[in-house]
Amino acid sequence: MRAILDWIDDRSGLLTGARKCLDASQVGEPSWKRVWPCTILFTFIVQALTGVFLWMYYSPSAQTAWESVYFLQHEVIGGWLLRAVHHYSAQVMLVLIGIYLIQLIATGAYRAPRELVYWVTVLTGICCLGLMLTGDLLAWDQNSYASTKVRVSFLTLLPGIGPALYKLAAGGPDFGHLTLTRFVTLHIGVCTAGMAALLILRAVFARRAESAEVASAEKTTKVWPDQTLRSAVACGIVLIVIVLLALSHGLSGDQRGVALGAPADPGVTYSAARPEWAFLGLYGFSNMFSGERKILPIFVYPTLLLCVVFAMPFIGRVKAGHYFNIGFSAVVLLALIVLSCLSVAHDWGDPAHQIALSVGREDAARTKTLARRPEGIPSTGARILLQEDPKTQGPRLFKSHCVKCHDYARMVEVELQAKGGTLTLAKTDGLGFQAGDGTKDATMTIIGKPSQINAALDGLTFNAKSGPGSVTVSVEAPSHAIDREMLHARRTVSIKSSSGKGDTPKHAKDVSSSVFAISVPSEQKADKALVFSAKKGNAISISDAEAPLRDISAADPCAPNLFGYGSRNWVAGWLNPTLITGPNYLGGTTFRKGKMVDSIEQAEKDADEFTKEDFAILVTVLSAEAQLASQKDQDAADKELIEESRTLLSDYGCVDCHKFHDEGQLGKGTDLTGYASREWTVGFIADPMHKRFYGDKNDRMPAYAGFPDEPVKNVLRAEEIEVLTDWLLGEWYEPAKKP
Amino acid sequence: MTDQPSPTPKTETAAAYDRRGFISGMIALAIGAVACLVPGIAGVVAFLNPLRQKSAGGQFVRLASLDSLPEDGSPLRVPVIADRTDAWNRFPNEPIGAVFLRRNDKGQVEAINEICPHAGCTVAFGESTDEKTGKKTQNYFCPCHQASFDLTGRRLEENSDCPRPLDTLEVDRKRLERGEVWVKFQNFETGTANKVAKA
Repeated sequence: MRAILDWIDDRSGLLTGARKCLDASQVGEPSWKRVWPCTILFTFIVQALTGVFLWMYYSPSAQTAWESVYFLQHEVIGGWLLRAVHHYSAQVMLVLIGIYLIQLIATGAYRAPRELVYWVTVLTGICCLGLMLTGDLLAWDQNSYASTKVRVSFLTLLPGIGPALYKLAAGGPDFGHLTLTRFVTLHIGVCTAGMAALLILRAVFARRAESAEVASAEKTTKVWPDQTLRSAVACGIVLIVIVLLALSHGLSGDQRGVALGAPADPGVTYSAARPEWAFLGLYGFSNMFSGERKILPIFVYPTLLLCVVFAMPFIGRVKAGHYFNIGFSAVVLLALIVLSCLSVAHDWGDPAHQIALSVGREDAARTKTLARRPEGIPSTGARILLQEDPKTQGPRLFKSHCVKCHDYARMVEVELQAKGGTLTLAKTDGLGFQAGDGTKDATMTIIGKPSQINAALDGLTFNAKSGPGSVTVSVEAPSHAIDREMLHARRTVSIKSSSGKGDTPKHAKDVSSSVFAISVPSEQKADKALVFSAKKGNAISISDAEAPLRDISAADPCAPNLFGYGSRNWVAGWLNPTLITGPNYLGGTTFRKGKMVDSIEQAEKDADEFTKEDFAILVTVLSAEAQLASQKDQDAADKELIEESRTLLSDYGCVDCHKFHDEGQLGKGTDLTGYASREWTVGFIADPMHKRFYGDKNDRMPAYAGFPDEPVKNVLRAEEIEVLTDWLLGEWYEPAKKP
Repeated sequence: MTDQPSPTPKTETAAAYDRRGFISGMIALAIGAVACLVPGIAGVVAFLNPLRQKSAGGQFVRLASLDSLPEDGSPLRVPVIADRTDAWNRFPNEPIGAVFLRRNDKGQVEAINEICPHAGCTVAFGESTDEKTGKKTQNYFCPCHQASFDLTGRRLEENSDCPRPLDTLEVDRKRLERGEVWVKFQNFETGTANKVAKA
């Protein structure tokens, strides 16, 4: 064995070299203060090790970068941990370099003979920042794309060479495939080699300086093993910190490790883009300057600052200079910390920023849900998934184009029952009635948006006939066919009533069941009105807890409320004389006083002829035309009924104005064939003035694709109309619920 | 330059120092090794992930109608169209391989995978006519290492480079009776004497 080792040493000199290293001495005792360089080297090793394995999975192109990171994060066992360790050890490395640098300055260890060690350490810090900036972009998600693009665009501030530098950094006039290939080369090639070289140089320069100091020192000890042991323990602690950070978001679920935002999409502005924590100070500083003056905080001042930092060994030759160095460093560090905190605090308190962040998180989760479908991710990349997703794009298109006139808000059904008295509503604007009429009713059932119902209930009057009585309020959010997630809606619509004084009875607060009763005390005199109102502090009101998440309310609605479009409940409103004239249907349009409304009101008067059963069947027949996916089972169950009941439209004269399959003609009313189906709706949105729909009688709805031969003139592209329609019809992908 | 021994304890002998130093050194090395192992193991586990992934294939795929196969038992090369998965991408209905189909004398259909079991090259079908006798010979021929096979896939050369005959694939008999050729498409490991399906 000895012979083999001797042979190796003779040929290579490696073992002698190793022995010499182990034999090194240092000035003074083994100390915990000297562990920093070793920990920095350790984190670099962790980075290199995890980096090599990450490199085996990463694919640097605009169509595969996010996708490969997604695959590693979610489909590779241990991939999330690998990525998390790499990410967090980068942050820890920067902190360790910072601590070491502060120590060098504070102890004056930048003085001779250690100037080179100090300068190399500063360069190590800059190299680490470079690694963080280049590495951040590689995931190609919304935040890293947007924030890196902004930072790289600062290059254009430089006079003359700015735009050229930007093109060199971005690999072209804009960010894309070649930006990634450049950044990955910088990250894995240039900066990693640079960092390795700097760390080696630091060790070489430090060893040389240390040897010189040891020669003239009184007290020296061997580095091995006691100092080495301390350094090793420090590295162990650093590793524990890194692992704890990596596990800080949990061991399971989509959020573990490092977050991965939605894929970068140049067509979408992500307004919540922020750089990593290390750059926040500079970010906050640069926000204090506007426009072209940004060249000062981004290039000029940092360069001046770095000049001072590099000059510190010379400044520190005199004692006053050394104190200046310490003071200067403290001020800069404090400024960076304060600016970073201010920046974070500002974002925390900015509602627009918080909304943009949560939208970003939703987009990320939705993209991953879509990516997990059996179809996988298309070869064009994952951002297509979100672009074509009705659940994501529908509301956005609606807000941009439809909300000027249309509401998208759930209506609820409230039943009020009075025992021992009658009820009168304060107002009946916008309400539909299924039972009662709002004035002195023992029972009434009202339909409307929560805001409309609450306006009617504010001032509800109970007129007692005799003795004790009660008012029962029950709320039902009709389970709209498309409202799959809301099938438990009955529980989410709660009834609030504050307890009041005087002649108000005691009743439960914030009852979240759908039914609650107010009992009227026996002292209540007959025919004395008991009013429930906000003024008296005992108003009954209902609230839909999920409305803010789901409803899109028009400021001034003048067109039908499109929530539940195509479903039976929605169609029922068209045939209900109180609802059709209300703001949720035709109330805001010129058709308020038109033939359709007249026919419906007439039909109600002829109640003997037009029975409630027929009304319900007619609703079923018409709603079946929409072929809603969510109503498929019900329509299939009622298939025979629907087929034999198609004649109802002739019996009741609907086909006098409306075309319906083989009956009737186009021209007077909208075509009811395939009413509210996908094909019908796409055609309608494209051109409501087509003779198939409203023709010349169209009120104010514009044609969104009125130029079929010149698509560039259209307001909406065909794909956008289709996505909007799919959303209205509730047709988007949802994963099967786990039992 | 004087190297002082560690000051505690003051009267430590050189041997005791060496022993303690050795232990400290070993502990230092152990901590360092464990610390490096953690990211290393995470990396290696992720690195080994491809072992989990299964090869495509093993399902019956409709390749052709019985009528489309030549009556005289000549083979027909049919591409296999199926869904292909590449890491995070799914490509529906893409060619993933090809199969030679031919009728044999017993009225059955034989299916042969076009991948050569030697090193994975693509086997071609060749037909030659003897000038003198006018006799036609049909066989399969692999251009990479000049191996030839008869129409049933048997090797024709005595010292063929190829370790086993061409790989045959299972044909669904029931569907064949109805006039449809359905084949269980699979790929096999190359270079082995035994026919082993790729896992």
